[in-house]
Amino acid sequence: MKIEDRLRRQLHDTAELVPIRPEDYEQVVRRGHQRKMVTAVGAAGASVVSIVAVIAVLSFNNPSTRPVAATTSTTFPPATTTTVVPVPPVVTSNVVTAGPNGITVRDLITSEETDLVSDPYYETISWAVDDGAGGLVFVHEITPMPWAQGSIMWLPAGEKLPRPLIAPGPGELMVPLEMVDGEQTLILRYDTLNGSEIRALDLATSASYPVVPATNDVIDAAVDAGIVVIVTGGDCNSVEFHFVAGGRYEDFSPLEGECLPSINAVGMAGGFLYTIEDSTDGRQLVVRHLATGEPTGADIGDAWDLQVAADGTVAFGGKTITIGRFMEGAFDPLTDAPNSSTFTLAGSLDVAGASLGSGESSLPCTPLDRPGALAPQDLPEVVEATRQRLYSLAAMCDLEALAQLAVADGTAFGFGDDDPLRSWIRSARHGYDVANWIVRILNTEPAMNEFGYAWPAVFLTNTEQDWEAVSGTLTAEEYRQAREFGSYAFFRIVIQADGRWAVAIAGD
Amino acid sequence: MDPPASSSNEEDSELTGLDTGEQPIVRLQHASFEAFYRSQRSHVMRALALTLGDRDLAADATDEAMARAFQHWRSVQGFDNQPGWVYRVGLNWARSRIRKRQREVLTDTFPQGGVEVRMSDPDLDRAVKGLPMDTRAVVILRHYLDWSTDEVARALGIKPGTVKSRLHRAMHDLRNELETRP
Repeated sequence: MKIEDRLRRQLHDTAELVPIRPEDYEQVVRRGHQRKMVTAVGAAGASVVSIVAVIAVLSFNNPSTRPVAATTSTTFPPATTTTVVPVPPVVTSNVVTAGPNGITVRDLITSEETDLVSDPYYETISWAVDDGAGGLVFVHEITPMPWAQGSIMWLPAGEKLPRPLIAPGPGELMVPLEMVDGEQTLILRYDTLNGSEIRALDLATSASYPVVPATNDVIDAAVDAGIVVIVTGGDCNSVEFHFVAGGRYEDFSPLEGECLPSINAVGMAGGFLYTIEDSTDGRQLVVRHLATGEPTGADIGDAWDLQVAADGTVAFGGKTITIGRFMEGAFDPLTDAPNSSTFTLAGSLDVAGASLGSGESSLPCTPLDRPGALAPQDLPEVVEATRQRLYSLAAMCDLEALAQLAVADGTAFGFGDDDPLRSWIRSARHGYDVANWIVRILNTEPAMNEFGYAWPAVFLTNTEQDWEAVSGTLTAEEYRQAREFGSYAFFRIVIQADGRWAVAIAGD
Repeated sequence: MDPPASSSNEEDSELTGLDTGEQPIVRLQHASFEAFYRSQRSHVMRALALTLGDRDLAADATDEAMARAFQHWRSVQGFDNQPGWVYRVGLNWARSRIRKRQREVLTDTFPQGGVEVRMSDPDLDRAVKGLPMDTRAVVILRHYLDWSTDEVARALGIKPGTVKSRLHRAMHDLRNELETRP
């Protein structure tokens, strides 16, 4: 049984057994009123204070206080140097949102929008960031063929097709975070089985190197002026500072080592650290002076993500994406944009008319084990007809036709997904090919019960004879796992007596 | 640098009483909150119980979070995922309580004093309770409440990518933990 299914079943069973304390609605309302009264008294007694905007120039660019990290690479990162040429920050002029329909670039002044779309089946974009030079770096939810699943893509300014930069290994994840100002260097988060590593990636060569070694509980990271800040979780949130060239910058700020409140997102610009934090009474955007650690904050409601551009423009997402700046004592919202799960601030972009896909929107399907004809079985005519149809569609890798059939028949195809095609494409890109499974198991003998005919038979019977029959269909490792588990929980098909395709599912 | 001014309390002028003298809009808001409370309390409480592993702490946290939801109902009722807000507030409150207890009694054992919530599968129970609290919360919302990645992200106030990343790691850790057990 898949761990997700085992977990889901246990959670639901356990939750049902949790006794629910009897409701005391009046008591809850009374406490709510008390809290309101306390807040009102506190507010009346508080003086209105202003937030003083301070553009602090820290020791970022001071060679005498900036240690140089050692690196073994001769090409990338570039040779470490204590001389940092100041680069004028990109002026924020767009907000870029990524989501189910691709990427939308919205001009902050005119509100004009430019939509960029990918290929069919591969529309959803998970992450996108400005490359600092008029282009975009992004990741598809399901990467179009022929690129490797999870590839970080780069759409340089003026080009019409993106190119793959780097891809994670199986079971791993790469998330673009932010560009290093004035360089073609992307800071990305690389989630592996050993934890989350922060890496720098050269867009021109695709060479990369670790900036922060693999760490557990990384919540978020940001970069500004050659310094990377990471926030780690656990019982106590804390921040660490590292050079982009590698090496920790331990004496950079008094904030390092402090036990900070629950932090959800981080940004850094102009000598300030910006965080979205939870206090007991709500969510706040907190700004801390990096040199003194002195905090100030603003109530931002239900926002969860934060972007701070090098020019000090701040954006946070909630009901809408609010964009503004800390000016003379308070957060000054300048404009907003429609909500999106993923957004980033960007300078001027030159991406109009570009595609996010490869233009080859083929479906993933691995070579099949038995592409020959399927021997007939002694079954009712309508059942055999469905079996033959499923086999031929799967052998041709026609996932679209299989999905249409699954939708028409109301086939149970998975947990928590309502689009079989999307679900199967995602599975195939992660190495689990449904078409291949269909071909493999429809060659085995079925078993029958009151619901219909099931392939392979061992799913229903669990007999030694049927285990033997399936041993040549499963790989040695699959067979070992199934026997160890005690019952067959891999992919199976059920066709009802009336020919309806009822089940195409793996797991419990 | 001074802290910022407190947020506006204009809600206070609207929700003025429990029983009498309420304006129509206030009565409507009370009715709206009560409907929310009656329909969502048990779901939130069970999700918190699974996350915290402590039935009593979960019940206290739910009531505290519901009181805060009432306090801020004018804002909260406009949120896309109101139970998610209550869950998050309850979880934060419970974490503060756990930290306070840990300071008072130097222990990091699980649970933290109430009646423990246990799964019938002891290996899985141990493995889930071995996950960090942030990760456990993501697992419970995704696999118990069946919320989508976006819904979990909004409920916990984190990025969808972080949700995916935590889930990915959780499943890996659970698999590892279960496979290494004899």
